[in-house]
Amino acid sequence: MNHRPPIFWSWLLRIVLHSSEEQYVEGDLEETFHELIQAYGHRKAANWYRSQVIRSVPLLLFRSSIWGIVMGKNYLIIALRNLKKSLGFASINITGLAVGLACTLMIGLFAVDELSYDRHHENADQIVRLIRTSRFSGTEESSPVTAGPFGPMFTSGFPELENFFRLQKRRSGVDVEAGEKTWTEMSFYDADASILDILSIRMTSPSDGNALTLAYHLMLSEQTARRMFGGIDPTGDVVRVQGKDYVIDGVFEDFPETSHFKPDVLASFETLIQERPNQISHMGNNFFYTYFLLAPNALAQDAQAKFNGAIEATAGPEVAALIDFSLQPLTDIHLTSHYNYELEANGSVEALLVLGIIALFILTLAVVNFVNLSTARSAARAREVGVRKAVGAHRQQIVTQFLGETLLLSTFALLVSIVLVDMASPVFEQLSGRHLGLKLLYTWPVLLGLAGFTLLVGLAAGLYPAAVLSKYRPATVLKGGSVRASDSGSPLFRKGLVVFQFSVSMILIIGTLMVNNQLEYLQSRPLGFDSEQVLVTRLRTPAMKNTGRSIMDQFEQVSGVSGITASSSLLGNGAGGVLFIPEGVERGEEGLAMATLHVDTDFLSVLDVELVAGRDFSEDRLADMDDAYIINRQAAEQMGWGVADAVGKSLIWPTSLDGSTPNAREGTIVGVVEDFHFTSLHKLVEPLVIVPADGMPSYMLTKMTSSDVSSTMVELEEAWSALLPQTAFDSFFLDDHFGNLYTEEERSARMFGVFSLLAVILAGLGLLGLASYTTTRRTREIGIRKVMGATSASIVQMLASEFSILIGVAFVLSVPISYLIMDGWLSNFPYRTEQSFWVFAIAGLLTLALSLLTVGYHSLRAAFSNPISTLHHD
Amino acid sequence: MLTRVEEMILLSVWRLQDDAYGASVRNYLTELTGDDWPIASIYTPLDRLTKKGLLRSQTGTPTKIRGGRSKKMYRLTAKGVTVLQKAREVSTALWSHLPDPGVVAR
Repeated sequence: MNHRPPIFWSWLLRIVLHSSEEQYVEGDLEETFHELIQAYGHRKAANWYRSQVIRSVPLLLFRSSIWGIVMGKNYLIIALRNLKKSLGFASINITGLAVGLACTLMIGLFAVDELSYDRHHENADQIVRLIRTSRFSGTEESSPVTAGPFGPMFTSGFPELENFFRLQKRRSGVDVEAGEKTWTEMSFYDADASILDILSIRMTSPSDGNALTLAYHLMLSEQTARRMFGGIDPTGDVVRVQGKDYVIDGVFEDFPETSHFKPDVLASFETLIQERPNQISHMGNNFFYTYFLLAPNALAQDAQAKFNGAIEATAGPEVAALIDFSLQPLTDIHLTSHYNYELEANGSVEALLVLGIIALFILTLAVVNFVNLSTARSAARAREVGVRKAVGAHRQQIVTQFLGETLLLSTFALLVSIVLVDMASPVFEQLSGRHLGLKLLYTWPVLLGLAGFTLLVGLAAGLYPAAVLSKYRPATVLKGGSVRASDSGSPLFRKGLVVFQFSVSMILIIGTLMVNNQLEYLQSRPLGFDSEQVLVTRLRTPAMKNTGRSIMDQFEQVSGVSGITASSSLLGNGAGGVLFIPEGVERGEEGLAMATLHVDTDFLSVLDVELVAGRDFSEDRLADMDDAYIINRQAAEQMGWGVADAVGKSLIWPTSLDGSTPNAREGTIVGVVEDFHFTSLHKLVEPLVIVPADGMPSYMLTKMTSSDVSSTMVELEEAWSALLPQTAFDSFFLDDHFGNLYTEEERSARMFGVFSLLAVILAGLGLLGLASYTTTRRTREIGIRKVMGATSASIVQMLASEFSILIGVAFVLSVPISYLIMDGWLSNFPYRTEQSFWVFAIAGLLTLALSLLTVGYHSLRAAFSNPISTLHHD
Repeated sequence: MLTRVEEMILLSVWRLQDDAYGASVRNYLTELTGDDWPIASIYTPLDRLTKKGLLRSQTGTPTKIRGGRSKKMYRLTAKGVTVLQKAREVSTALWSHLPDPGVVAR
């Protein structure tokens, strides 16, 4: 049971109370809080506590002695009165700055979180990961997956490396049985016992120090243990994994969110050594992630420089020429590592940078607004300044007063922004799909930094109006009752700020539209095959694969199913590459690496892939089993034959390039298909070889042409459970899967959308301020114009055109900038939309409409005002 | 002159005797008026009344339910009692001999 009052609110209270002798206020609240828990429960009590703090903060702030230092209490009273008098203006100003601060804060917290990946390990700076670079057929491929022997070999060979551990991720979805129940674990790792020494992994149950040293032993994460065994400590219990019994050595504390891999289960590496000794000791089996602990004060480069020599010594110069190793700091993995076969999806520095720039933009917008609005507002107070000066106020005092007011505003804005962050963080987390380190916000350095920053913004915003206004000579101000434009600061400065704001808004709007366009394009581009109503079922276990053929036969009987086939890889996720030797290329020369897809015979017809030359595989499964290949257009062109000549050519799939071992497969190309997207649209279509599958491929594809999909699904499920009663029928649609490939783009689109909306709102607020300023300043001019015969319409036109020019300038500035930015972004995609004219047009028109709407109110009021009321002073 | 809130708080402290501190005064007034008084709206007058010499404050013992924080206990001073009695006299005088209010329908 939670007996503590809400953390944020009690923290806020403490901040406001400020001096420790006032702790009795806190105590009073906490006491009543506990009484309320007894009477009404925790929720009600927490709500009460929150409302108490909210309502008490203004009063307590007033009491607090901070103000004695920053400004005299009198100034505070005047400032508060002024705020109260112009509540609308103050709330616009506070909201604007608070929203800007909140955005920046959230992005900042996000950034700090991203940068803190894997830093929680005590030796984080001394841990490195081995990266292998292989060279073959003129291409280079780097990857974190390495062979088993290198860890022990390098550690014993070089003094720079103190220790190592190897890690293997089992293919996703390992079934773990405990008693009667089965859990499917997605992050099941095998690791050397040294992982416990190198990484800072805390054990929650006492261990005898021999954890993970024996074969068929494993450890569970706290969360997994709780899920399987409830609250009971499972140490010493036995679970069954893939038909083998494993002893549980202990429970480790869950890896924090900020880890580049987060295991649920860690099994001992000994298990692998016992099960597959040859694979572990083979230098060409790249299955493992190898991490090293550097010796104290040793440099990674020193060790790195010696790797090649060591390989030459053990495996000969031929191997050494093909392979290269480097070391990657553990703390760099999350943000900068984007190899194939990463353990989990990593973040990106670029995305962080873009977000950072957006944050900076929004913050600048907000601060500019704050300055602009404060200035506009204070110009209307010229008369007050005049009176004050006339009765003897020093310039110094007036400056202090204005500064105090803006400081007060910015302080309120800071408090509001913290509340906003507190409330909006779940939304942000959902938008970004990432974690936000909210706890960090409530630490002293961050809070002090924020307070300092707020002070700075307050001063900056107050300084300009204070300097301008305190300059007024009381005689002129009071006699004229108004200030000449030339006295109230440079209009060019304010106009420049407006142009800047609208340029930023337009760039963000254009960005949003463009990202959405590209997303839509990715999702709607024809894939080259029919992905609709295709149900994918993954046959995970050997048992499922063994029953695969019978399931396919049963499924074919179901009404609404028009065809069924299978493939070795999931379309959209790409396919594994294999080295081929095409006809006309000599043995020992370079082969060509091509993706291979092992499919069932009906693959092309069920998925409606277009055949451009030759024939499909024969209906008879065995006929083409040994020697037929179908390739795609890309492959035909890369091998230099073209579509027409490719049919009939031979293709060898060797096991070794020098021909010393028998070939895996030697066959003829029987057909060529049009390129279709077996990877996501982030990649160009690669050369592909389609091979008839020997056994049962892992992915079963059921094509339906049913008007009632749900009833067909029910029938399929029945057929499935008749054959495989223990396993659930787990399947998804292929087009959904393709949609999910672009979640990263969807996130960017949503983030862009939210932030540009905020930017537009902020820019709108800024314009509102400027419009109100200009129209009040020009009241007399408008009055005189009307007396001289100007119509209301012509006056609206005059005022509106002035702003339209500013928008026009902003448009002209933002178009090339956003074109360049978006061009850079789009060039990441091999398949992309054009930047169309209408995107820019829409952004421009939208901004124009918004600004006219904002300005319109003030212009209309000014235009329809009676000249008598504006001029009667003269 | 006492404000209405000050008067209410002084009377609460009188009533609560040895148990008068921020939370108890707040709870008492909340119970009595039915409004949920913000704690700060109790402390501001309490401070002011202490400064004026109508109340005397003293630090109490910390308890566990308060997260180990001590109470600030208040007692009425002789001057406080005099001021209260005066306020009552004024109040009674104001309330006596009132004619029919003659409420005007809006």
